[in-house]
Order: sequence, then structure tokens, then C-alpha cells
Amino acid sequence: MDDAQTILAWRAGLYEKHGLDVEMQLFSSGTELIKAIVGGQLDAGVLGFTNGLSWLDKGADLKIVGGAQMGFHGMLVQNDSGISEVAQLKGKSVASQSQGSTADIVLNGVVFENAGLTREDLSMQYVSPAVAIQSLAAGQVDGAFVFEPYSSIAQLTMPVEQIYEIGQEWPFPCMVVIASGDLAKNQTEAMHRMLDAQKEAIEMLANDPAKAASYITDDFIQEDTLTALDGSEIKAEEIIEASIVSQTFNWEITEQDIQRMEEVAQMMVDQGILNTKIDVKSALDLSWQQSQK
Amino acid sequence: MKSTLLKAWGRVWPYFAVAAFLLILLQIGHWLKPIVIPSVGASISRLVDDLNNSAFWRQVGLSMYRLGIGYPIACVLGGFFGVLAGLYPAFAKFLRRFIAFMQSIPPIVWLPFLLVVLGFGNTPIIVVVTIASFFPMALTVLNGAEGVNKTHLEAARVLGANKPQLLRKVYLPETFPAFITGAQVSFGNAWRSLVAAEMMGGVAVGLGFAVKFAGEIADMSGVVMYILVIGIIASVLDQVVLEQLKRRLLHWRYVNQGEGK
Repeated sequence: MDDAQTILAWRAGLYEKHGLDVEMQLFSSGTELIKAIVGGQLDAGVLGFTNGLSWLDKGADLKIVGGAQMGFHGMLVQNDSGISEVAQLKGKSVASQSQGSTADIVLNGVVFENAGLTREDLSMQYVSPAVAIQSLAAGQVDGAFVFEPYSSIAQLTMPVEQIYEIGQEWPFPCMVVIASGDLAKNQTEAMHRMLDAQKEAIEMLANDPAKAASYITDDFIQEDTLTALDGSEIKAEEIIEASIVSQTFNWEITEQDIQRMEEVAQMMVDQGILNTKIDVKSALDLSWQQSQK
Repeated sequence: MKSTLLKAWGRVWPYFAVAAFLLILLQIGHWLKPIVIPSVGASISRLVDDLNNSAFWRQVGLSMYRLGIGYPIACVLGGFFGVLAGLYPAFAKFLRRFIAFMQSIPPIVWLPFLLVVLGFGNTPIIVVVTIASFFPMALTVLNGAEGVNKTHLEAARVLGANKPQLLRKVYLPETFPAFITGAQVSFGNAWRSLVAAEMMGGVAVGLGFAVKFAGEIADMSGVVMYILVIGIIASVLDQVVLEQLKRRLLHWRYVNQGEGK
């Protein structure tokens, strides 16, 4: 739910409030979403900025036009594993998102790097976050590197604990708003209205997470309640509210964020994903953000 | 000499025509969307480069390993249960309903469940391949066993054949063509499920993983190259290996050379 602002703006009618008639299309991953923008089927989306850099490297006409969410990815282990820090995962198996995804890039370039590990020191299993937490609970892997709400769901309903969260250790603007070059150049007013609606959604996420959760819970958890470890029932909305609170949503891209994006771009070169380092500043169009000041 | 060349050309021209058709489509796609779809030249150049890369052969090798275990297991089990159903009509009724139910479930949907139960690595993918190819195999052999010539069966019984003798002298020879046909039909299911399972996760090597990873990092010439490789390997295995095996083992059924005549 690192794209919660988009869904909230849609569910709470904020796009209509700002004079837009949007058609929402949900994707299971940023890599699929970015192809739809590059292919001209979508105007804009909220996704990991590394997807944008991969396609900019191939010459796609894209612009990063706003911020969305600071990276949240937690490393979970079983309660009784005796593992309390990432370095102890050496020689163990860890489940994470697809190789080449934003999560995978920072897992290798930040989490493992800072723990003195490389990907080759562990057995990596690339699966969906839902399968990752189930596999951790079933003992098929020793760690799971997942985003929200899977981290909260796992901690509330499974005998697991979080030993690391990248947002606390190394904050970076994981999710951003990426628009097609055509939208950014030729439909500036529509783009600004979209970002206005998403900014309002981000403010609701920050100031009234319970109200925001009431709008978006059904998009992330199908059941009304989940069973906690102690057998009690937890309302799905409470889990989503906790997930919202645990994350940092931000519509602004700061100079410090740009610096972090440059560092991640270098990691992508080091990991063989980019041929050459992209100049992140040339991919930014922060005209809307500047108009807010 | 000339007629030999003409015969050879008669056999291979359809493959060239299919390759040319697909490459023309690829090039038209490139002209329409050059950022998303690579050119024929870039795709072929990428293929040539990767043929000299050990990582590429590792992807191919591990996919073939998974297929090489899961698919034969399905053929043997499918053939066994299909013939058994021919011998025992009550079991045939059960097997037919079981296949009707199980075949309606796409094999790939088992994977998330198998990953949690069996763990990661080759095993869940091999099981998906086996599930995918078992049911068409069993159904084809079952149909073959049920279609065994009654006159042959009755003649064998009149001559005093017991069940093992019926199996050896009547059912096995008469269902053998169905076994071969079932193996060819099952292969397509096995191959498609193998690639899909490798794409869904749990492994970091294999053709399905390679095409997904290339898509993740916007490496579209890699995506197209692996799609071509997946198609070429399947065509060679199906049209050359299995087809030739079928014609050799069942040569008595073919009054002429079929397409290659």
C-alpha cells in the first residue's frame, strides 16, 4: 500500500473534487505499470522511481513529477529464530520481491551492504509479499523483506518480528508520481489537478489515518477481521490504519531525496540494471511542487 | 540430387515461413513503438551474444532439467493409470471424473500453495510440470484403452488369457499409439506451465525467470530474445524430437510421409 494516496484520492472522490474524471487502473507491480505509461495506455502512476530510471535509460519520454511515499521495507524473522540483526542472516534464505525491483535494489545496495553481506551470501527467493510472509510463518525461509500492509499483517497474525526497517535506517523516496512526457508538457493543468488531489489524500493519510483507512481497507484486505496470535479478532481497518501510521507519505521531493535517488541510480549501475548512470535531475519536473510554495 | 533437395526444402520451408512471419511482425512493432519493441536486428544480435554467455546456458539448462524430470514422471504415471482404467471399468469412471475436475484447474494456480508446503527451488516447479502434463496424458491413454478392439479382447479371453496376459498382449500394444500421442499433447502443457511457474517465483534461474527479470529492468531485447528461445526450444522438442519419435515408433501407421511427403 505504498501507493495508498492514489487509491485514497480515487475512493474519497478527491479527483472529482479537483475537476478530474479519472479512470483508475490497478497493477500488481510498478514494472507492469511503467510499461503502460511508456506504451501510451496510461498518463501517470505512483510507483517505485527505479522503474522510471530503467525506462529513461532506454530513451522513454517520462517525468518524475511529485513525491508519494518514503521507502518502507521491513525485514521479518520468526520470533524464536534468535536472529536480531541482518548480518545474522548470512547463509540463510530470505524471501523478497522480484529481482530488479526497487525493493531488491535497496536490499542489495543498502541493507545487505551495511550488514557486510552480498546476495551470494544468502539464498534469495523472489516471490510476492503474501507468499513471502506465509513462507516465513511455515519455516520455508528464514527472513522476509516486505512492505506494508504485509509487515503489519504478519506481525499481528504470525509469530514473527521485524528486525530492520529501511525507512528508519536509510530514508529514501521509494514511491514517486511518474507521468508521461506528453502529460507533463502538454496537459500541465490536468497534471497539477491530479497532484493537488493526491496531496489532499496524503494530508488525510497523515492527519486522519482512521478516516483514510475506512476508504481503502477493502482494496488491501478482503476479510472484515483477521485472527491475531492470541486468538482475538482484529478489525481489518485497524491493521490498515497501523500500516498507514507506520509509513511516511510525502508529496514533496527534497534536495536530500534527490541525493538519495542519485545514490540508488548508482546502485542500479553497480547491479547491472542500468548501462550508464542517469542524471536524476534531468528526469524531474517539479513545476507543480514549486507552485505550492 | 535435385529431388533430394526439393524434398528437404518441402520439409523445412514451413519453418522458414513461420520464422519470417514472426520477424516481420516484430519489425513492424518496432517501427510503431521503437522504445518498447526492439528491432529484429537488435533481438538477433542479443541472441547471438547470449549464445556465448554461460549464464544464458544456465537458464536453458535448469529449465530443461525441471522439464526432464517432471514431464517423464507425468508420462509414466499418466500411461500407467490410463491403462489401468482400461482394465478396470470402475476405476475408469473415477479417473474420468477426476481428470474432468483437475484439468479445469490451471496448473500454475497450485504454485503459491506448493511454495509454502514444499519450499522453494526446483521441487514445486517440477510438481507443477507433472500436474500439467499428467492429465492430458492419462486422458489420452484412457481413451485409447477404452477403444481397444473388442474382437481382440474376446479372442484373447477365449484362448485363456488372464489379466496380466491381456495387459501385455492386448492393452499395451493397442494403447501404445495413444501413449505416444498423449506424450506429444502433454508436452505443450508441460512446457507452458514450466515457463509460467518459473516466472511466478521461487527460483532465480530458468527461462521463465529470465524473461520476467528482463521485463523488470526494461531490457526488452532480452524479453524478445527469451520469447524466441522459448518458442524455438519448444518447436524443436515437439516438431523434431517427439514427432520423429512418433513416426519411428508408429511407422506402421503412416502410409506416407505426411506433410513431408
